[in-house]
Amino acid sequence: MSYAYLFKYIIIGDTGVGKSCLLLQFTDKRFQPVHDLTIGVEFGARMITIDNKQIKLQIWDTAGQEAFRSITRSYYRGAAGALLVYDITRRETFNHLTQWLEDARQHSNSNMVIMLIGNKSDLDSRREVKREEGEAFAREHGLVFMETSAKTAANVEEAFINTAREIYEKIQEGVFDVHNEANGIKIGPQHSPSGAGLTGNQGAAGGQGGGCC
Amino acid sequence: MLNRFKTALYNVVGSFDPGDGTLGGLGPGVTNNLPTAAGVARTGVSSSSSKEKSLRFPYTRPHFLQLGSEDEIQVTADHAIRPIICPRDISRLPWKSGYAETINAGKSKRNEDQAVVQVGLLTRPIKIAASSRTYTSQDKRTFNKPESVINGYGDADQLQPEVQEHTVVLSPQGSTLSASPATELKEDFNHSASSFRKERSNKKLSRIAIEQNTVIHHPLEETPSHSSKPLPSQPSTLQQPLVSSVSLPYYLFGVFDGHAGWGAAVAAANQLHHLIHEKLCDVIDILIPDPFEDNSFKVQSPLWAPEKEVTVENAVTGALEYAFWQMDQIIGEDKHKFQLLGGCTACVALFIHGKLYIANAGDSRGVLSLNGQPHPMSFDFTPETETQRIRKLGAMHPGLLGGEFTHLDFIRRPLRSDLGKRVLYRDHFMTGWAYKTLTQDDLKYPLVCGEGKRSRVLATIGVTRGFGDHDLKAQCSSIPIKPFLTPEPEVRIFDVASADLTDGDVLILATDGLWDITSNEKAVSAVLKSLSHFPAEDHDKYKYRYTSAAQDLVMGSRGKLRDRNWRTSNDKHATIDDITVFVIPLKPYKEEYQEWTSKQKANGGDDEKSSSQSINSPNIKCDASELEADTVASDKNLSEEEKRPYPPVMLNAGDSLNHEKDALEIKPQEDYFKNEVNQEAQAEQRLNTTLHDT
Repeated sequence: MSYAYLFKYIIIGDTGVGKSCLLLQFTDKRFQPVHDLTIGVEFGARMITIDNKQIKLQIWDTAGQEAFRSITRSYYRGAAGALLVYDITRRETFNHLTQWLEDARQHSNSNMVIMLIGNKSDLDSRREVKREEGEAFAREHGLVFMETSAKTAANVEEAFINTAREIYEKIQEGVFDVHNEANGIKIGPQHSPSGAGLTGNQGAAGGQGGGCC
Repeated sequence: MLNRFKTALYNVVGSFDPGDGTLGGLGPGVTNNLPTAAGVARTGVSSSSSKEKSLRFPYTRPHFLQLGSEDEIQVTADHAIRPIICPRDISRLPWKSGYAETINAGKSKRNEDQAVVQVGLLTRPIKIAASSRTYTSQDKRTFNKPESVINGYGDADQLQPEVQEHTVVLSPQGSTLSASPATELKEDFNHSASSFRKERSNKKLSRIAIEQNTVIHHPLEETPSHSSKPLPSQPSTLQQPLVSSVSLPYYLFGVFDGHAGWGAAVAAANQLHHLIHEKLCDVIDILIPDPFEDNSFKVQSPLWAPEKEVTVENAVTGALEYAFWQMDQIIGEDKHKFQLLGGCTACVALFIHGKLYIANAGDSRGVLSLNGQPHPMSFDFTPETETQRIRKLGAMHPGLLGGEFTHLDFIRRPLRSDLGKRVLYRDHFMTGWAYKTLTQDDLKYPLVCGEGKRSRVLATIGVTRGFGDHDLKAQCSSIPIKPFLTPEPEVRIFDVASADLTDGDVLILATDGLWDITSNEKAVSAVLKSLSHFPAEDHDKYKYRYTSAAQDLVMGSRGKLRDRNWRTSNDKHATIDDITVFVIPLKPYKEEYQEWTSKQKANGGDDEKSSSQSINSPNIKCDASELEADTVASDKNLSEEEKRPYPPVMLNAGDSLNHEKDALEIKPQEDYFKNEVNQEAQAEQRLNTTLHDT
């Protein structure tokens, strides 16, 4: 399928806050309670529509583990949007946000849209971080804020789509240079390559003109 | 400087898209690879004829990465980010081995490195009633052909290979009675697998069958079990002796570094392991001798023609060498019929019979990390290290030089003004230098030129061993390059079973993308550092340790992008090449093998499942006592090992079924790494390593 733009996202935050679950909920609409540690980087993709335009989101899910930090840092570059995730039931994941933000600002391009996500909103009884605290942090650092639940899917769509909308608006305003791929934005192929009359294996191998998803 | 320029260029240009017709001749839907790649200068490849041919294999990444869609493959091919990709499910690799890869910085659209992992099982029936007189033509021998393919390169959704079965039954005269594939075979992987069996191997297997008067039967099973299985009852009118079977598991890891297109590397990753399996089946009677075979039936070799003794090592080495050779031939044949571009190097690690065999053709490398020390298990074959072989070939067959190149090596490129002067040179039979008076002929371009990574044969190719390149011509000429290349591997052996191993001892198997930047020593210390983050004692984290190590190695050589250049952590040039790395722990194989040998011993070459059917066999009677003896033996073995300081010793594994015994009768030998090919190569390797490091 053809798309107008491709946005690259990165999901960051402490280990165990639910980064992979958010991705899985968004791309596959399912929740996996027991998830293996992400090693290095995972990725997923989904098509969304903004302003009647097809936009493909390519999402890079990184390992939260300290041991992989030096590897995951290299993915900041070339991302148009970032979801910075903490766990509302674990105070320390909120405390580490400043560090994550510093890291992100240092290694990404300056226009990257960062969305702050307080995940696991379904576990309200075990809440350790108030909603207001998240809001305050976001305001202070100029981020968009949202509480989500990867389990119930609450706000998950919104989190990814709102980020995309913000990026899209920045493009309209001319903030992003869409021709520089390092900004994490790619203009879709002008014409879908599907008409080339390819079949079977040949199609699978040759159809990398960009249009498949 | 050149590198710097290239990286800058790639970053400005972004990833190439040769699919848009910039490379004329490549129509829509055919490959999108660039005909330029590591080791091969531009214009070397003729791609014009590939227009109408269909692809031999579709482009893919290693199956164990489980990249389900073309979309995901594309994500991994991000030249600007160069993500480090590792398997999603670590348990798909034996012993939770580590694997990581990254793409080049833009020199080719696709990642031209490929990798394969296979767990296989060789099964041989053992006749229990050895004394019963039904040998010769009624002798039944079964080759099981189960292939649990971790990397099947099959359909993305087809994680387990289908159960396939086809039988070749031969009449006593040796003519084929039936060949019946039980299932229709799928495209790609299955196609390749079956095409061997149907077209190629059947021919050969039939030959063996004729010679040995046997019945060959190989079903593909879904999963290998380390225990052997009782024979399926064979429909046969022949008298059937009591049979059981012995199964020998093996593990294969391979890396292939493609150049001038991805075709050959993908073909090798799809097929080489099948060929190796086939060749191992061929020598199964050497790998697993029948303990009950009555040797008196063997024809004594006459005195005037003594037979050479063949060990398991010889047989496995031969299987690898034969498979490599045939792989190259198959690619050569397929190049006529299909679109199959480029060439590739190959480095295969095979764990079988308690030993590790590394077969290497090219400049990928296997290095053991033992006790924190690197032990190279392969030799880098490059134009520079093989200069004598290549120049000798040129001297013997001057026609191969096309009148444009000289096999002589001059201390510096001679100029026209040097004509008639005495210059230092060396001929193909020399390693040192001598004087010669320069003639017109000597002004031709040298057959081998350049140094180190930039050395080239016929000014074109930078690798001298591997598969493919059949259609490659020297740049700006019609001189074929293939005659100077060879698929012959060098096979080195490490005795895993008798080595004193810890959880930190691994094999690092990687393409030159890693080794160009990271020395053996640095690689070993990087692995140890990574492993320390995921200690072996930590049960939860254990499974990540080798994957983490592989990632860190890739990271070390890929570095980070700084000011449009890929730089290492100590701000030196990082590689812009594809990088592929395996980190394989050695201890689990040793333990598995010990278990296997003690089981074999305990069962007297039999299996629990089948022992019931052979309860009357005199060979089974001593089970209990043997078992007891066995425990004692392995205990002794252990304590012996604990006491024994490293290095371990090499065993002569002549008799595969007496490994316990062998392990006890350790014959001290000096070199525990056996180099099957040439000692001088090893010396050169040492030199090479030191050069590398400096």
